Amino acid sequence: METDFSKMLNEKYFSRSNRLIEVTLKNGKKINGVFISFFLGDQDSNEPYIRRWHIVEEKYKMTLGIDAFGFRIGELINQKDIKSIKFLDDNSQMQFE
Amino acid sequence: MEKVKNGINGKVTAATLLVALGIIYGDIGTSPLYVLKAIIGERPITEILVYGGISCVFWTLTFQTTIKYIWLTLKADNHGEGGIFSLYALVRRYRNWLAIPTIIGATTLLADGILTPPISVASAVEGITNFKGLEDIPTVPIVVLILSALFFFQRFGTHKVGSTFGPAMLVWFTMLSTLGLIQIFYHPAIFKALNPVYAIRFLTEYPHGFWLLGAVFLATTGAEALYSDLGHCGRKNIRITWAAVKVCLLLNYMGQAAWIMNLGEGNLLNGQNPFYEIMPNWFLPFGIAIATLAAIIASQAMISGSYTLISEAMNLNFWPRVAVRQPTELKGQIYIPSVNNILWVGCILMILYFQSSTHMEAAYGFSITITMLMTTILLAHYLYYKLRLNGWLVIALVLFFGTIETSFFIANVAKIKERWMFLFFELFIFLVMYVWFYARKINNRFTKFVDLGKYVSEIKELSQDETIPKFSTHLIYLTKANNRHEVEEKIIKSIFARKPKRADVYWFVHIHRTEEPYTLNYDVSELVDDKVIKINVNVGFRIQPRTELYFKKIMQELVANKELNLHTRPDGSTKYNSEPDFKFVVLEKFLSVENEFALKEGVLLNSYFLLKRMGLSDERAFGLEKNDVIVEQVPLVYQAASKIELKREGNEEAKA
Repeated sequence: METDFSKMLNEKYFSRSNRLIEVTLKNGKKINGVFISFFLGDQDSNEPYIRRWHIVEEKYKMTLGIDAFGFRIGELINQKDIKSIKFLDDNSQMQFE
Repeated sequence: MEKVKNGINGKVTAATLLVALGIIYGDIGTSPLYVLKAIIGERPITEILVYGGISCVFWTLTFQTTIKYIWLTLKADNHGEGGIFSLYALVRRYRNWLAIPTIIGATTLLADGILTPPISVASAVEGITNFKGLEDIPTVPIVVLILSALFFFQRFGTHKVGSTFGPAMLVWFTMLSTLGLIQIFYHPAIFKALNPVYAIRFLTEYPHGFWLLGAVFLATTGAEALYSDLGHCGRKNIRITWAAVKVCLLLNYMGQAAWIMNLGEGNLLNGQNPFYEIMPNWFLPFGIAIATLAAIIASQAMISGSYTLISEAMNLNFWPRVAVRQPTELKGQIYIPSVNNILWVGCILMILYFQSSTHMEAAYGFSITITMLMTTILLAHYLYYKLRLNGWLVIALVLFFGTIETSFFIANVAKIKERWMFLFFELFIFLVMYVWFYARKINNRFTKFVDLGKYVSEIKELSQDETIPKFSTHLIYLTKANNRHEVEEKIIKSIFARKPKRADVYWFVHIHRTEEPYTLNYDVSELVDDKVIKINVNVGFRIQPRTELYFKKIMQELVANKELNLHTRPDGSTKYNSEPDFKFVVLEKFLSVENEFALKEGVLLNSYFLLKRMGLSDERAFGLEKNDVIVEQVPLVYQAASKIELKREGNEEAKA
């Protein structure tokens, strides 16, 4: 059975007190911020436990990812597009390839 | 080892065998009423037709019923339960597309089920035309009356009459075998028909013999019901009773065939039903009465089976929520008014349209061949993945049964012209299941979750903020999140947005539908002591969820164990009574104008919300009392707007 990186990330990420991260996508793009929410995958379709993450700048971490007028803050990134994640408090890293 | 579920499952006694006889053999047991009549039809009697027909019936009952269903399929029990949805629940994790054969199988099973009561009751009632002077009596009103009464009494449950089904079917099978044996005595050569050579010659040499498989198949239409009723009777009881039932059925089929042979080669049946012709005249009134009773029992089995099928479909998210009643305290006995009404109207229309059992024989069985093919697909996955049978053996079994069932399917295709109206009904059932299943998946895919832990301190702060009026002592949200730390984003929005909802205790209740049929247990996680509590209730797919009842029971246990303070303070909202006040918040989604879909998603979701409006409301579906529930409408937004290119005209003038 394939390793579900999203589950590992979910467990590690939400067990930390400092959640500031740097996400490197497979296309080379880097995003700094915190995950504020996520979309679960369809287990019947063999999707990862979490298929999509919502990342925002740290200053918006207590928001629900939308501003007062309903516009989205931050970005939605697919789990499958993530190459690596660096936890900025201790520089530890998770590789997803 | 078989698990004890319904009191009789797993153990074998004379009483359990009798119960099994009454529950599961209605359909297959009443086939002798019309099978031989359908095979012979208006064809001249010949040895190859009669012996070949009987040979085909014998080998069909052997391969299709005994080997496929009794031996193989009954192995696929889901904690004692059987049926196409139980089988699906066992194998769904192995292939995503298995939902499709399940939907097709359930649809076709339900569709042909509409013909089971009219064909059985009509065949039995038509026996009275054998009396002199009653040859032209209209039987349709009698059938309509019997069926209407049967559907009317469903709301009261079958517990009072259910105990008579077993003895009644025992009388029926005794009658079948006795009448058959008497005729075999006059034509013992009929035993030669068990030789498969006759079946082969029937299919290959008799003119259009292959197409007569459509009539032969009527002998095994009830085989699927043997599997569906596994939970009621248990594997051992079914296997033991089947050995006796098969002998009784064969004796009767061979007795009818012997009587036909004694008419002499070249003669015609001239509309006579050999089932009644083998009865002595003095016995005819008793025979008709027993046959009618057996037909009613067969119809009852089909009706109960349809309730179970739809109930399972709802719990596995294949069918919109509809009202389900429990007419008695008996476990598993349910009554679904909407299904009852659909079946009643369907059955009455069938008898009015076809008028006689002979016309129904020409239409009956087509859909069941599809159900059986779908069961074969699911069963193959079970044998390979769960029983870990050798892959080649599984392929060989699939090819073997697939060939038999495909042959029956092809032979039955001719029936479409007699049953074209069923296609609309089947299409409707299929679309409802398909839309509900896949639209829910889309819906779930776009449900956003957050880490509940992140909001715990804010919830605690809100709870203690006396500047905000108290909304409720106990505020309960239903969540889809399995994980104790997760909750839907819309729930957090509901607590904090607009007027924040202050409560003493915040509960997040997750109803987890298990793949096992009768699970009912729970676990509790207190994220903040007496303040933020997550409950996970595991409910089996055969149980109707009664969330409020479960919640109160859990609360009662927590209070009794001194794990929870009910917050009944003298200065608080509960000054005038000791009842804790609850508020369940149900978040109902609607399609927002902001949504933009691809064509397929759009059609699926629009149909889904239409079905949702027609079905049961969320609060009733979850078993919540209306006065304890607040329903909030939340938009189902797929793509939250991020960047909109909206240009302001005349900016320069405005600035100037």
